[in-house]
Amino acid sequence: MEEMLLLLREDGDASHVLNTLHGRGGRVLQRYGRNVIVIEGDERVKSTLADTSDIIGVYTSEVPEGQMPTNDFSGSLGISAWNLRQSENYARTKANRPGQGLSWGDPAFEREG
Amino acid sequence: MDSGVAVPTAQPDSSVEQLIVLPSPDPSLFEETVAVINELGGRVSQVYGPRVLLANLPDEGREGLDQALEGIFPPQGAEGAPFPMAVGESLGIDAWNLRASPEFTEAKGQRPRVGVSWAEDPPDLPEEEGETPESEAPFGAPPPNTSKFLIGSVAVGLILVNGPTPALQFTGNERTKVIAEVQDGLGWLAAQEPRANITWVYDIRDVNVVVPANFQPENNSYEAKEAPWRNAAMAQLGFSASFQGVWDYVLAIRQQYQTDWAYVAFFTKGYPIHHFAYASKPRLVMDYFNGGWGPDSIAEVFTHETGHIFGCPDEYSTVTKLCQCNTQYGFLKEINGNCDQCPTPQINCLMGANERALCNYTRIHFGWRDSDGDGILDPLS
Repeated sequence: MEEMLLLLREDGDASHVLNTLHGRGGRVLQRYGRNVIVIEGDERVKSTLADTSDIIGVYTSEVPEGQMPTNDFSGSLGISAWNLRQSENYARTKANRPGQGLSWGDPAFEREG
Repeated sequence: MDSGVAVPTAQPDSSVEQLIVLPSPDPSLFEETVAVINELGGRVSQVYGPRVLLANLPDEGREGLDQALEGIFPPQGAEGAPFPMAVGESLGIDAWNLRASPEFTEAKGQRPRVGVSWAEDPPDLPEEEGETPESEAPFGAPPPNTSKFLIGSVAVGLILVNGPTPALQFTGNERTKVIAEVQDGLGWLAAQEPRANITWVYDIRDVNVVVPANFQPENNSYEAKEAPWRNAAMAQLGFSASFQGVWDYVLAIRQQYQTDWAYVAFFTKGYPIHHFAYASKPRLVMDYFNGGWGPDSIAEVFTHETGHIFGCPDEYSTVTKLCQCNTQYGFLKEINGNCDQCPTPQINCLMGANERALCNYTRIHFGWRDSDGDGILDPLS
């Protein structure tokens, strides 16, 4: 199963898309407003969704700049966050983050509350 | 003049409660509207997305609102809004219209056990919270438990609190970083138990407050350090400037997005909070710089704090705080068997260390146990 970002059309039938997703064994992980949905599914889910007219696209990598919704605060942030996560810099800093693997009580770090 | 707000024809009896529909989801427009309502002596009672809100206004308030907002809001009906209504917004309007229907009035008048004290059949109470600072949360009646176990859909309020100086304000890149880290961490968590069918539904708010970084808290408590900027943020969002306002917001987003559960996370940048991250129902608080762990571990810390929200205890100890091996936690009342004070070796786990791993104890604390192997997790059996 792979994580994907699904971008609905403004006038897209969300119920139809979600029923299609579930029917193919996929599921919704996260939602940002009405039109931006992070899903989990396989290649069959992706190809089926890509054929529906209710969506702008289904992405496993960066969403093109021109596809960003202009009047959707949460949706835009959800896509910007997704795109950041696809970047090499994000992966690199994530893999080398300070304190990785250490106890939350490690004396070299401040403890959470 | 024509109204600057949309008031559907169906309205509940003679109440001064008003349904207001904004012409666009612009956050500054929303904040301006809330400010005007407050100036007029009114109060926003419910929010359904960025454009739909309910407000209680004094008798003359409606006219005052029209005057104050002339030129800002074009005459706009819910039917003719320029953008398709989001699900939560439509639900708010549908609920408003339902409340005006004869069927609703009749059903309310005949509801079972009307007038019976909650004490005879109390609503859900919060689960045990371990060492989290819930005792400092000042509110009256017991609130409902909005995070009993992690199964189903969860509304997550993400409130980014910006102060009056650049040092207290999130840049665009920092804001994206926060949302990306949360997306990363909660996406990972949702994938750990497919049978839990977890969906996170976000309500993201960018709020500006005028509280300076060097305010003097009354004491060294969580509440004293949190309340000034938190209460200002809640007021900006149209809720009461108090911890009760936080509960009201959490209940509102749970209703708005029709989710099983809800909680809220406040992100700050540079305010002197009690710890860089902490949580107790229904809210968690995090500083952008994330202690010595840094912004690149926001995902892991946020997910750890979300564990607290859903009843998971810490599995690590410090010189001033020891985890308790035999204390029971979570909806299923499981012991803290992976605590570093237990006689058995500790394994890698989110609640013990900066790791993307879950031990069986934490899984059960989340509610993820299927005792009879029927594919249905115990809390739903």
